[in-house]
Amino acid sequence: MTGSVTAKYREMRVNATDLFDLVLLALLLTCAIGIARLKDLAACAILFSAYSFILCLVWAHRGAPDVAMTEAAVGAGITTVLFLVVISRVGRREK
Amino acid sequence: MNRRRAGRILTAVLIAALAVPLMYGMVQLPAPGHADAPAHTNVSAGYIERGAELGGSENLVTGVLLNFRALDTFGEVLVIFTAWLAVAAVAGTASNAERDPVPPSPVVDYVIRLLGPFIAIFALFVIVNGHVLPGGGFQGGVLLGAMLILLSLVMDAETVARAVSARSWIWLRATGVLVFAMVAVMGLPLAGYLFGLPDEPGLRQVLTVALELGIGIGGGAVLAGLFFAIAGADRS
Amino acid sequence: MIEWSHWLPILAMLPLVGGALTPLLFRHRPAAACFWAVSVASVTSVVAIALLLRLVDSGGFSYAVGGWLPQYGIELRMDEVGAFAVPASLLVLLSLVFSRHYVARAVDASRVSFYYALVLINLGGLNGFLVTGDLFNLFVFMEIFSVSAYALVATAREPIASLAALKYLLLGAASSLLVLFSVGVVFAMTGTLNLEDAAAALALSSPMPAGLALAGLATGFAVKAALFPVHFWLPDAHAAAPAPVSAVLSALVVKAGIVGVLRTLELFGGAESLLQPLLHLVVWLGALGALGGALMALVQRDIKLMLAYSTVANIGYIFIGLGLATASAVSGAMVHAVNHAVIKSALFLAAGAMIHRTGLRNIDDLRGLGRRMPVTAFGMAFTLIALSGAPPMAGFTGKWQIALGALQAGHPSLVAVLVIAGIVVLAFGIRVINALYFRPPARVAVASATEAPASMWLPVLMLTIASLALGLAGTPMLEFVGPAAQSIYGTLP
Repeated sequence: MTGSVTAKYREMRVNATDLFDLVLLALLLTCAIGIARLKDLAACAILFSAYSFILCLVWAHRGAPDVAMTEAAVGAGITTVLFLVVISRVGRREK
Repeated sequence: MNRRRAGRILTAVLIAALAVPLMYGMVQLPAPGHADAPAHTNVSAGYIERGAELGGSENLVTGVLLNFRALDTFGEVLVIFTAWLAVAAVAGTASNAERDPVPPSPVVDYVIRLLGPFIAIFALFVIVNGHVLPGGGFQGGVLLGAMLILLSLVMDAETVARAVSARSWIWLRATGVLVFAMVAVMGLPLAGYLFGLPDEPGLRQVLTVALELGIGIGGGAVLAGLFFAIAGADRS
Repeated sequence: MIEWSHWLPILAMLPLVGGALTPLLFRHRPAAACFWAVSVASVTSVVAIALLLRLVDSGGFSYAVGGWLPQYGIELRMDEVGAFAVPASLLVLLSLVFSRHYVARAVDASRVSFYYALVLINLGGLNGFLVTGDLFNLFVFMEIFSVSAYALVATAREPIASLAALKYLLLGAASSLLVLFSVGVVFAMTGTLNLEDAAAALALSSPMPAGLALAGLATGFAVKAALFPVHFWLPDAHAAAPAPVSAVLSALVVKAGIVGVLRTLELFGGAESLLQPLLHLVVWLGALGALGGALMALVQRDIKLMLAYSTVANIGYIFIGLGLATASAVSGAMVHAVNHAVIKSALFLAAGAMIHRTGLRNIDDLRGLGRRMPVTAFGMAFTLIALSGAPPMAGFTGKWQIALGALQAGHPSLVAVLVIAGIVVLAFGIRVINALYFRPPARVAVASATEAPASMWLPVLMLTIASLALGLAGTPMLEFVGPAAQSIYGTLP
């Protein structure tokens, strides 16, 4: 079992596309940690929007334009607005 | 202070305990994009080989969504409608007294009003071309919803909500479910099975576009409805 | 005349579309909305019964949605597990009849049509979930019944309802995510979403990613079913919801989680080395749930909270049966799922009628109600005894078979657990019966109460009769589910 796993990694060449993916994934991770740590809900919502936008790039780069479009419009656009509307009604600090 | 620290350490340990087996399992999955992976050789290969021809959509994703796995898509459309029902059944009929009194800047106002019609046309384009290009009912519907929400931000949510009567809004929101159900039932005489699309290319094209339009209009109206309900502009 | 197999998708489509139409047609006419919902549920019940008769007559059958081969399209199939659609449709029908007067007080008038729409959509999601033979389709229908269930809990006017619904929503969403993730893993491993195909492919696959998928699916469905350590969302949600919704949730929605577990066992039936540890774990979690749920029920003062904890206990029994993996235990568990559905919905509806008439939900406050509301109180007393597992009523069959299975599997300690839990259930049953019949009224609301309208006591009475009839029909029910139990687990001892 382990043999096939290492073989899979040996196959993986680090080229420009992979590097692009890695950068995007690192950004995703940064956003996720930021969302978990922030206490300001409005900032969280904006960071969520950024997260979705990066994810949208990942989809587009992976050859799934249909998913990328939905992610951009729903994740980066509409959910952010809905979050912000709710935050404007309940206050922006986490208690 | 110490308790909080202990809580954090506990959280980290729990997350690690969850993440390690997940990663271990994921690494052993067949690599995505690998030509021998079952995900590409089994059903997907069949879709790629004959999907466009049998499903009637050059965009295979649309073919799978509206034809091969139409029941799933009907279910998703219904989940979206149910989400609105849920919010409408729960959201308080709160007053707008606490609404932010600061008007948006004139530049934002002007740009959004200017962009509105273009977004609408683009949304329509995405919807009706779903069978040949990336996109379709869901994507176009979301664009429509986003346009309505943008307009509500600069005009006033209530003005936009009142552009259509409360009764018509509900029918618009159910468009996706109703059109899908009608096409599904038409499959019985046309294709011999519920949710079947006919083999005759012209008729199949018409029904596909009808489905996309239904999903798009329904989705857009639901998203706008979610916004209206949460913003307290839903007077219906 | 359309061919009969077309009725299989209609079983799910009818309540779904009927539900979506409810707010469109009857927005401001609550009475008409109720009539409409009852009609849709009646027709659905007739369809379900017709399909069941067909199943009994000529065995299981399947339907290719859209006319596509099972692998490329979605396959629906009617089997003994799918036959749960019959009690599901009938119980929702009775709950809808009960709702007619109940929601007038419990739900805002402007939202009544949404309430009926959500109940019908819930039924459609359950029916689809029960008859689908496709893994992703299973997830879609699970989302339909889950989303409508979260919303239904929140429609109640109780102040705690929105909090309970939020808890339910967060737990439910996490469990849905686990299920979706596992469906993805199964697809990556097998390249197919059809349950049978995937099961065949998984039997040959390597244990590790398969184990991950098994753990994800089992945990996800266990949360929906409220198995012991992940049950804590249930008491609040089921106690806060409007009574007819509590009946549907306790009787059907948690059972859908159990059906999900059954489908998971079916999917991994070929990978026995993975299943064995899981089944052992499930037995002991079930035993803890049975004991803990019964004890927690005993100390409750709120009648609906008591019933909700008793649901946790009964889910425990069912999981003991599923985990023991002997022929009698598994068929006992499957029969008990149906019987508990009937008994628990009778209890929740009876409790709802009492709350509707008196406005009181504390057991001590309901003292002396037995003479004021004779039919409802009789229904509650009778079904409480049935719940404890006294023969010849419905609770007996399943528990007896599970106990037999425990002896066969060499776990006499589990029999002790079952007996102790049964005694505890009988104890809180007697406590309620004692309060209802043998104590003088302590509250003015009770002294002046009168019997609930017929739309309330009639469903309670019918379910009470059913809880006796199903107990008498124990043997045929066991014979009916027997082959399904065998086929899900491969061969059972």
